[in-house]
Amino acid sequence: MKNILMAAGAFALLATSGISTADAGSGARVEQYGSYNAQASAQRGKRNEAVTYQRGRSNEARTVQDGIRNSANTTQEGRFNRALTDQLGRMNFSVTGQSGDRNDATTIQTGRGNISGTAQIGSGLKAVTEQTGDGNASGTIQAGHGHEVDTRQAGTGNVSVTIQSTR
Amino acid sequence: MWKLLFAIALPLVPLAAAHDGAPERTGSLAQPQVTCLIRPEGTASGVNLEGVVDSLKPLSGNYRFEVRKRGPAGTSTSSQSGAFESRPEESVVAVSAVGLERGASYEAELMLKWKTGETSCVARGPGGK
Repeated sequence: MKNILMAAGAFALLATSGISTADAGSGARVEQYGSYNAQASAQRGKRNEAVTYQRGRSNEARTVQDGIRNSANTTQEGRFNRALTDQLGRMNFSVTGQSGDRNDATTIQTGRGNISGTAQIGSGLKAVTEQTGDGNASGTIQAGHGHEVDTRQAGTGNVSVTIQSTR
Repeated sequence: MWKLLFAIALPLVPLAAAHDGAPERTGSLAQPQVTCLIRPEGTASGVNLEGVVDSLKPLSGNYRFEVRKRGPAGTSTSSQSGAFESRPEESVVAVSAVGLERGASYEAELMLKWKTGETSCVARGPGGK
């Protein structure tokens, strides 16, 4: 019950102060410490940059970018964290790093020439990458045990690299 | 630590597209002029897999390339799909690289469909160095 209330509180936070929006050429940098934090960045245009750092447990970071040559960099340290990056457009770049157990990273890129990189350390990790378009590249690295990677690419000239290690 | 791992692996993305290895024909032949191939090349950390169509005439259609890996570190699935156009020789339609820790194995399947036919081929193995 306590967890449910805390989760509800987190989403209430998401609906208020945790949201940042920006247009072309903007940068959004967010640092959060503690538990049950929620962060959302929405950017539209060219060359936007979203940098998110969360330390703690049960945090959630969402980055949505619409445009060209946008960059999303999400770092989470702790357990039960979730990161979602959704990029629409061309030549976008997404990097997600998670350290801790039971973390979850999802990256969705729609367009061409996009690059996605996910690195996770811990146990019971999950990484999902969806890329729709031509000439996309996806790289996923996981270190530890009990991991899961699901990479889906639709288009031509796409490249997928997945590395899982027990150390 | 994860930054270090990512820095090590990021160069593998272009490398996966740039390699060329000895062809290994594992495909079935649905029609005499079209061959489905999966070409594995061992790397230091695993295997690079190329999905290849070999046809005597120019050919266009759709492909689906699935690579599934199981091992002590976990499981991974890479699914690539889309349209292809091949020249009257070998054409790489999909590239997937997978790391293979000790005790891990992979299975790859390439499915090709075109207007008048279809074919598929499978490759399995450790395949790493």
